[in-house]
Amino acid sequence: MLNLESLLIQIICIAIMKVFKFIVLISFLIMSVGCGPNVTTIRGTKTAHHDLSGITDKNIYIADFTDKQGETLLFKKYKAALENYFFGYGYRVVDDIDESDLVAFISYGIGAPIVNTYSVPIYRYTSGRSDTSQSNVYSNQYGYIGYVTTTTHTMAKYEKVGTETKSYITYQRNFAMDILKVDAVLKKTPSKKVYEGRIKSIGRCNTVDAIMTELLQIMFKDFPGSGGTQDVDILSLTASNCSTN
Amino acid sequence: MKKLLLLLLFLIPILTSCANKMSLTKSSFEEAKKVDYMNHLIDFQRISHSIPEGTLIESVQGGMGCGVQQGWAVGGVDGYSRGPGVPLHWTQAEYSALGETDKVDLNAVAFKTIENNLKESNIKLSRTADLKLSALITDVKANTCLQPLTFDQKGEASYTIKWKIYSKIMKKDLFELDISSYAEETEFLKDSVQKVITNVYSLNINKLINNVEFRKLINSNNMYSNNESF
Repeated sequence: MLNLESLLIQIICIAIMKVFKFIVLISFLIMSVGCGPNVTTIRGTKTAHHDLSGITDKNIYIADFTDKQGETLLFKKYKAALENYFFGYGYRVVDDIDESDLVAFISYGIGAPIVNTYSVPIYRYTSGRSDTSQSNVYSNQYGYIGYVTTTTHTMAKYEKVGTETKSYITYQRNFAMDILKVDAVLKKTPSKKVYEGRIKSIGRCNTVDAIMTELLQIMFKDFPGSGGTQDVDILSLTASNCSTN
Repeated sequence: MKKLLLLLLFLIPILTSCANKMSLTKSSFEEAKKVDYMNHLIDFQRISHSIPEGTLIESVQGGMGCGVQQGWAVGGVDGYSRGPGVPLHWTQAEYSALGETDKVDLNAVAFKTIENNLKESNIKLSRTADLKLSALITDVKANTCLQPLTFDQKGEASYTIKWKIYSKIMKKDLFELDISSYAEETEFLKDSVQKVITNVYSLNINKLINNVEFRKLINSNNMYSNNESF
């Protein structure tokens, strides 16, 4: 009975070890081949200040910041996403400015290319070697008395033989959102700004479109927040070419 | 005997206690009662959610009898909210990036399901309608199970949606109601999750359509602007 029990335990243990080895092997293959999803981090430095805590009327209208930007297709593309964010945070999104208590102005743009250079040391491998030399030994009294064999061992090593300069281009992607009380907007009196948010994000892709989803996520993370400047990292599946690395 | 006990101590946590299914409130399916004739207009504007970032919304199990918590096993396949306003489900762009081109954007499925059920109940959708309907998801709980090797799924889900109707004429919300719905798929299928999500939204909108106050508003032919009881 005891033998049968031991045998059963052994079989179960072997099965578990096989499964475990299989999982480890598969995990290693996935990690080494790199066929997992290409997740990248988009970092944005967000600076926000607000006075939204005292706002009770929450009808909000979303508009472009400048006439030049106008109702671009890009703005239209992300307007629905913006509305979903405001709605998610308890605002009532309206279609007409005259129904609104607040207006959110959106602006975005891209800076001039920044060339980043960096040096990479070049290393060379020198293999180890052994040198053997013979030298005769003479005595004043007896003349030649024999020879001495000397062996010198040189260790293999990596040594720095120079540097190579490489460069890559990054762009500063900017996103801004201001929220104003609507009576100030319509009467054209000095506007009462109740929210001011700015995001700067540096990365390799030169279109705002490629990272707009992430910029919105950064802007609305802990919205409206306590104010100040903070770095916000967003994991992204779709903006793999846009990070700084 | 000692070895057997040690083995059981090793296996029991893996097979049982790691499973961390969420507790869901069940409710039966409900057909929507059609409104009498098709001149009732509404503008279904948006669906979003207010679930805080990091809230567990989908617990994924696997193994025999769906007893193994997958989040524990492979380092996190459970679903968490990405914060209010961020799409609740993976978008089509994200599925494409993952190489899963056969998967459907469930955010779009949700919107379409709500639109279809409204239309099937004789409620016309029009951007010019005075009544603006929006859906705010306030709670999501889902338990799904992955079948070993095939990765087919089955599961259950419960959603709570806060329905709001805003009147452009009145410049205020005329209706607000929280509705919970539940759906379950007991067979392992490729599209089980999509079925569950479709059914859970379908049941939720059907409950809204059947709601007395909602029907009163829909049938009022915009007379609420003269009626103080609204």
